[in-house]
Amino acid sequence: MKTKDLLKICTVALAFPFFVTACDNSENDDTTPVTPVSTGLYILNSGNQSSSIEGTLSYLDYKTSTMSHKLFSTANGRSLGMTAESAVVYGSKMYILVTKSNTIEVVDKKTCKSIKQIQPTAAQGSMPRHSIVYGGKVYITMFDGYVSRIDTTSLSIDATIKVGPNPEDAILSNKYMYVANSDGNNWKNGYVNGQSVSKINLSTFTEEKKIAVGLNPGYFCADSNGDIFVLARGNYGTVTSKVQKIDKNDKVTDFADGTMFTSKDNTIYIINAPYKSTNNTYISYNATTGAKISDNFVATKVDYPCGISIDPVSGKIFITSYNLISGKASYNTNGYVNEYTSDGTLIKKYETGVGPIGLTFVTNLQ
Amino acid sequence: MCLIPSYAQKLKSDTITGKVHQIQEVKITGERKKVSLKSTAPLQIIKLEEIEQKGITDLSDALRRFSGVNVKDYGGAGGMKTVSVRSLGANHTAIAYDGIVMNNCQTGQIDLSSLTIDNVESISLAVGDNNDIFTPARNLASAASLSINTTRPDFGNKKDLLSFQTKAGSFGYVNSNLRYSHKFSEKAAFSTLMDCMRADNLYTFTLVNINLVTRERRYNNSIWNGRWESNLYLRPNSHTQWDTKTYWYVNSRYLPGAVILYNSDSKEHMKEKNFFTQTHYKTYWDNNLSLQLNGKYNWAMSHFSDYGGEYPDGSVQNVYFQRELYGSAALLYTPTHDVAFDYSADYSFTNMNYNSIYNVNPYRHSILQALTAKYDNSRIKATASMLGSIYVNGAKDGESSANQKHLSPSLSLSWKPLQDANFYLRASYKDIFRVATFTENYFDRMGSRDLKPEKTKQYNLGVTYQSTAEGNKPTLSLSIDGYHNTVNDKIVAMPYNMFFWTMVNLGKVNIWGLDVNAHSDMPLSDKCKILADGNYTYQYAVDETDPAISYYKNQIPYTPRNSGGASLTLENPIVNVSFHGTGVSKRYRTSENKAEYRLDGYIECGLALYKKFKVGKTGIYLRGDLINMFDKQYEIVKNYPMPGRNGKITVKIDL
Repeated sequence: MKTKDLLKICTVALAFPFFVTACDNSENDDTTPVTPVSTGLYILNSGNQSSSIEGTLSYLDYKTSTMSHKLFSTANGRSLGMTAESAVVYGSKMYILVTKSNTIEVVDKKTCKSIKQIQPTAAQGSMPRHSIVYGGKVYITMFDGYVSRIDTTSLSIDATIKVGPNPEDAILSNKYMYVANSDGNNWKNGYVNGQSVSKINLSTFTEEKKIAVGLNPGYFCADSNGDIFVLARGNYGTVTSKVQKIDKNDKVTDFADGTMFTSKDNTIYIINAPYKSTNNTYISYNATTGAKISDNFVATKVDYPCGISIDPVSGKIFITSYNLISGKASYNTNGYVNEYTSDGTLIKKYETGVGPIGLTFVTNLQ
Repeated sequence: MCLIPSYAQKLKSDTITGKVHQIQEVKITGERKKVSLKSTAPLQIIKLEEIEQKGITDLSDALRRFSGVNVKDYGGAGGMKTVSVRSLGANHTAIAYDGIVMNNCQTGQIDLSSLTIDNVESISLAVGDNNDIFTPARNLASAASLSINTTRPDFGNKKDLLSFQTKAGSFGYVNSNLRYSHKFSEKAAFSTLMDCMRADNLYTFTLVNINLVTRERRYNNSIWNGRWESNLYLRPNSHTQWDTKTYWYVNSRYLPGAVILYNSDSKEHMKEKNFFTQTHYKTYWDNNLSLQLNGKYNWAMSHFSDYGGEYPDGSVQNVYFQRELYGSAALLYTPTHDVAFDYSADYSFTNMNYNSIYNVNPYRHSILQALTAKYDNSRIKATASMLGSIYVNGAKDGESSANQKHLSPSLSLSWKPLQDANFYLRASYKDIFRVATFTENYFDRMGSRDLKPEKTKQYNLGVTYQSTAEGNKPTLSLSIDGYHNTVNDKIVAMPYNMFFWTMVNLGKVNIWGLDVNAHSDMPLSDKCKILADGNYTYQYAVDETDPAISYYKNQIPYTPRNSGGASLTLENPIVNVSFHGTGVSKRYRTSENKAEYRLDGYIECGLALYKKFKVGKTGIYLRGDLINMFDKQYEIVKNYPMPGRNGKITVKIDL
């Protein structure tokens, strides 16, 4: 039955992302434009199912430069669950998606007290992955091929639509939701039924079309012109991971090589750490022209990058990492996050929980 | 306490003729003894009557009564059970079924839940060197070997034997078997066993989620299995033994998976089939030479499935087939009364295929040769052996893993310092390795072709003692062993990212330990006696892979520092009673020994009542078991809760 365990690891592995883009809620249409101030950063530690380590929530307070841990379990007297995947802040609440436990924890943004635990029914899809917020709703990709919509007043799922197989990240652009159909569980057949991005009209909540992209699309970011970028992660073998640009007319072009990325304004920050490579690059590009801005956008690289995000307000760069064990990623011990200034100078290194994959900035409006 | 000499034992007696190497073997079956006194390396034995006396309920329970053993148990009748000896890992324990090692080239592990205890005459565990040198080379090729010897028919003066046994227990457990044996002549006998089991396994457990405590149930946990085993025992002459076995096993079980908070929905299922036939031929000639031939053909299938919308076409189906052809020859030469030499040569061919585009149809030729010398007089016993292993790997439809070639020495010594006291000192050393399994080499994109073997070294120092039996005085037998082991190039799965994992050689374990076994018989009167048994294990087994990592020198996962077991039995004319318990201290579920990853220690106790009697000519055996009688909620593997209090009733009728 060892095979079963291995299979489990694979399945779990498939169920994990390796980084998250910044969740910038500046497009929330229910807020009036005032000066936002970022106060801190939530880090969601996915845990590790093969070691029976459940997900945890950490918070970096900018004011005191301190990281506090296990906020969810401390506030609620129970665990977040297995494979905490991503979180999004909307208004006074934060929505935490826990894939393996198949729950959406709605918590108070400040106290982390659970307001409601949403457990989707079979018809609403299962294994929540990523989300966007728009017009009083939270839209969640479900790994079994759906997008479900949570009404933020009733805190319940009020509609579900079908998308492609194994959807991962989502992004909001020009009142459309874009969803990466990875077909990640079908890697034996070359992710053949994915290779697309679903474009969803949010006023009707229907999928308008599927845009063909590269192999195994996973994550998004956007530039200030309204173009979006998708990470086609390849197959960890013959097809390498790359960044593709989807412009306003849904035209897809290859942008650069990379395995994880994030964006701020009109700059794309791309880390390329391919499988078996020993020479990782950290390159920033002009999103419009594709011209290189910097060959090393941070002065100090991390050991084994796990996620990258940029504070939408302060511009500080955060890169999470595994620690190393004899040169390999130590997947069952705490990781860390490096905090850099916007020009890439290392400010401080903080310990996180196990598998720090989710970075969610908390922005207060003043 | 002497059994009526069985058919098999008689035959064994016939073949002794004072040969040193065989006396040991006869002692094992002839005397009831907790520790193997003269053994040069630790050898523990549990025999049929002890299974009754100690209230042992299944194979994994039997193994917990051995020292130095960690049984990994995923809970319930259908939960996988594997055995790791002295912190080396389950892949380093060979399991021999009636003398021939069971090989699983796919996973490298034998699931003990697929074997029944009802068919067992003795279970023995040898750590390091095997004391019986007249054995196939493969039996020497593991760090530890567990031997399961099945019951042979004891005909007495009958020609036909028929017995029926049924067990019923909690959680819908029913297990019945029928055994028939026939003696054709003094030279030929036959036996057949049919056994089937089913259980719902819907047991409840307490789930502690920090401050939230709920009562939950293990859903999707039912199992059924069936086995059919036939044996042909031939004794062409008084010098020759020739036994052949045919075995068919099928099992179907739903897998509840690990307990995942807020989500008890599991749709996993596993179906397994196994067929093998094996033959064992042994003869000796008057020129001090003995010959042994063994052969086996094995076929196994396993089919894992899981259902859900997250899979392409709604399910994942992994079907594996493996086959093995195995042959072994051993020649024993005993020039004098106290010296023996053995040369054993084994060849096996194994292959595997499965339903994946990553299947390359891997195969492996294994050629093992062992040369062993043994010296044995009344005071000193010494064994030295050299095992040469050649593994030739190939893949019909793709790249294969590298070939392997190794020499593995082992040495062991036992010394009786005093002429008149049954007190022995022993020391042993063994250097052995395991090659990567086909799963580790080839499984989808996770397998690595370039894995090196996982290497172990074992050192043991021990004493054994047995008091002389004098009338009705209590007896004591005792063994104490201290050991040091190392494991290098441990094969583990490591991630590139959370999606993509590969197998690598990474890991070094340093182990220091102590094993203690004690047994005492205390006669109270002619018809009453108390039997007491105890075992204790200390294991300091720490990870020394990388001094820079946070868990450097932390205890390896699922390995308690202290563990042990004890049983107390009152044998009397009314009904025999056995009270027993096993326990372990705290363990950690990850490499890092943090409080949050701790599994608390536990003690699990049980009670067995049993009685044998006759109604006319019919022998009846009744037994009642209360398992986990104090309803202790515990886990051996994190998120795989074990059943609480449960019961079992056994009725056996011998015609």
